[in-house]
Amino acid sequence: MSRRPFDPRELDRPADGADESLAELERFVTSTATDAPSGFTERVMNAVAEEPAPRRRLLGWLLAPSPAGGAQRFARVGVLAATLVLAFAGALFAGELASLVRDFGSGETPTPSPTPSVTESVAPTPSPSIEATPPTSPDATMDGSPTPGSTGASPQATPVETPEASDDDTPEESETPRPSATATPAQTPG
Amino acid sequence: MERTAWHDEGVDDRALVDAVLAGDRDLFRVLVEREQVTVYRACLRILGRPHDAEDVAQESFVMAYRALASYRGDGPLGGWLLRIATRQAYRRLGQRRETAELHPDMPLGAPGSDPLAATLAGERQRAVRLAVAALGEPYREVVALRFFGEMSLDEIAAATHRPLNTVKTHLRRGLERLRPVIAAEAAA
Repeated sequence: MSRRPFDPRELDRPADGADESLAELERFVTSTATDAPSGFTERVMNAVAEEPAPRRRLLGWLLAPSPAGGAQRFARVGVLAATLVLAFAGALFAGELASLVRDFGSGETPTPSPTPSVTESVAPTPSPSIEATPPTSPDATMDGSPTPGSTGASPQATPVETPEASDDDTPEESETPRPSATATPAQTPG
Repeated sequence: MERTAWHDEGVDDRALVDAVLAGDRDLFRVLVEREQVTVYRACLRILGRPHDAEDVAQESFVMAYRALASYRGDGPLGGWLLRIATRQAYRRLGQRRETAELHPDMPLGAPGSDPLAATLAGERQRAVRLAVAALGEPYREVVALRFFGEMSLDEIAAATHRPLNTVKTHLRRGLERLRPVIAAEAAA
């Protein structure tokens, strides 16, 4: 291999005060221009023979510049687009399949399950609010504790207290009327 | 004879890589024979010891073979290989720093018959090597590729995926930073 001595004109602007280091580098490079040891190629090839064959990765193949020019590049882009479309379609299909399996496996249970959970969550929330408001009358405290049963509650006490509870708990305003519905069983005994 | 055509200096690097990746492992020999001198010299200039240089050069070829699929073909294959080799050599140099003082480097090239002159030459070579090794990146890489790897600035720009003007700036700044370091190493 021919030596390629450094020409300061390679740089657009000369390096400040670098003549000395340049000369030292050139001297160093000239004095170390030795050949590779004999048998080097065979040793490398023996080492390579023990390696598994390198495989071209798909992304590398798609992004590699093709010596054939535009046609091959176009084909690669087509393959990439088809792969993406297939992956998208596969994901959609898998999602649909999963939802179908879920529906089939659970049957009707999904639809009723939300409603009890809502009513259960609503029922406890008004009861403390009812307890909080009634300190005005000793009867209300008595009414507040048995609300789940609501058997001993007077029909008058519950309609009066429910508006107060709904005023205190703003997020549960829409649900506070439901305890009023509990008054209906109370009306039936009365 | 297709084999002889591969030995041509103007062989298409991309085609060579594609052929090896397609399963013709023996064609890797073309690359080794074509680049072994450059790679070995670069390693020797960085490491200062023939045995270490041969070891790292061989290791670099094997690493290049393993990573051949990642060669993008937008620069010379030799430059891509030299970049691997210089990195490996500096990694090895960093690993053996602790024992460097116990095994002073022998002067490279033709030492001559005068032991004093050979010792002085060895000290000067060592000063240059350590001065370049002490440069920060990216200056060290550019200086090493230009002087130790004997690559042109265009080749360095292609191999490192940097604009040519950036490579020139890195080389100029590297040379400017090298001056006091070489002086200090020589004085030490």
